[in-house]
Amino acid sequence: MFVLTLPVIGICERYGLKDKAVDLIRKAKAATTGRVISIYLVIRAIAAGMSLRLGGHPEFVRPLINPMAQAAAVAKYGKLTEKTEDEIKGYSSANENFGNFFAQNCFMGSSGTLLIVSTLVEQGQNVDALQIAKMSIPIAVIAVVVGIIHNLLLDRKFSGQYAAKQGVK
Amino acid sequence: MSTNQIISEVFYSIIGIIFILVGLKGLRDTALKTRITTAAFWFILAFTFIAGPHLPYWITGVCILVIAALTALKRVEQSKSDVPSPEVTRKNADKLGYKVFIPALAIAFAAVLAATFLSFGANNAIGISAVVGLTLALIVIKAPPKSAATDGARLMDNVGSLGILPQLLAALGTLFTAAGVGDVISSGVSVLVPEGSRLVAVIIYCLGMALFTIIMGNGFAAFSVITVGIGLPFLIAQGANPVVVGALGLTAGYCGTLCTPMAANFNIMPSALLETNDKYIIIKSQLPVAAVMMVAHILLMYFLAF
Repeated sequence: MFVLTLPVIGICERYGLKDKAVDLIRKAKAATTGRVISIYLVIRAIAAGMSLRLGGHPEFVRPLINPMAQAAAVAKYGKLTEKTEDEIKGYSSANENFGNFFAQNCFMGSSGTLLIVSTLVEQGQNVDALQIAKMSIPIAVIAVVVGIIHNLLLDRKFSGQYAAKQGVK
Repeated sequence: MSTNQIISEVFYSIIGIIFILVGLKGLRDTALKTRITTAAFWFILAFTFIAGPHLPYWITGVCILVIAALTALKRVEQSKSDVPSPEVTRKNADKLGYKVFIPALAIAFAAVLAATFLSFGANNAIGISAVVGLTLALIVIKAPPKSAATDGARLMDNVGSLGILPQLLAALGTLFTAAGVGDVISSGVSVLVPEGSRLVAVIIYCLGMALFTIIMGNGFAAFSVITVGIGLPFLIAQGANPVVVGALGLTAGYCGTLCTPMAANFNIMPSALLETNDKYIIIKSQLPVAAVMMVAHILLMYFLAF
């Protein structure tokens, strides 16, 4: 049934859905790497839960989120080590996955939700897509909270590392 | 046939038409080497969706075998699409502004509303929400109706054969039950689960989902096997709420997806895309979250399901 929603999403894409999402994220003036990535996580999760095909490593993480997260760190600490750059890339990509995986089943027509329904119905259980979608909300919220804490811990790790470096100088 | 069945037959026929459009698009793409087999894939698929209820089971079975064979032999490829250029979408975006979100968001809300307040069933509610979204797209965005066909076919081709995976995997679960694979897994697991220990059963189900997903690289395939083998006999048959077990079962599998290089398109290919030094940096960044999420799944399932 989710096939039926594709024409609408396709039209919205042609008329600038992704471009406006980029505008929205650009507006966010977040001071730290962890916060930039966290804002993306929230937007990505909401989009996934609403069946908007917003995310993607090629479309968002590489051109937008990673550069913004890198820039936030450069503004704060100056030149970054290669290891730091790699870590920021890793976190940027990871949060794309967190938002995508754990929130997508909140949409009734998502392929995961329909798989759960059809598997259980074939086994004689009486469940429907609305029930599964509702029951997927708690874990989506938890995933966002856990992801944000994880990102903020990265900020703390960086400030510890770079403070120590400046101390040595 | 009840009204609900008639409505869903109409929706399935529309889906069939979308498949036909993808097939025609493939057939017209003369640069595509596999255009005949690609078109055949989509036409056969469309045939099963449109004529499905009037066919004897064996014909549907043969169709599915042909489709599976074409996919396995990699005879199905994406054909050339009319992809809107970045300049076009940028120009449209500047003209329309945030209104472009309205039809897309309307789908999600209309689906929930239709499922809650109308009596057509949750499955038809998704179809109804798509109709609402499309109507709004034509009114708010003022898109020409032709776009529904071209952009719908473009995205469907993009999703490709993976789009029908859920239905095939659900059938796989039934097959496992029929072949007794579920019984084999459950008799093996029953050694581990002490009689009546709900917590242990929850832990084994969630970990089983994650481990199987790590091996297969795909939570969907793990879900039908592990749910039939462990979820049904040790949780649902013991009184666990099937909605909770199903919803949290699949995402428990996704904790495994976060840990495995087998899920290359999520964990490995992006690191090439971002030119990282460490190929596994994404998986390393995900491990702590995956572990915490696993614990969260176990606790949530234990407290919500019983």
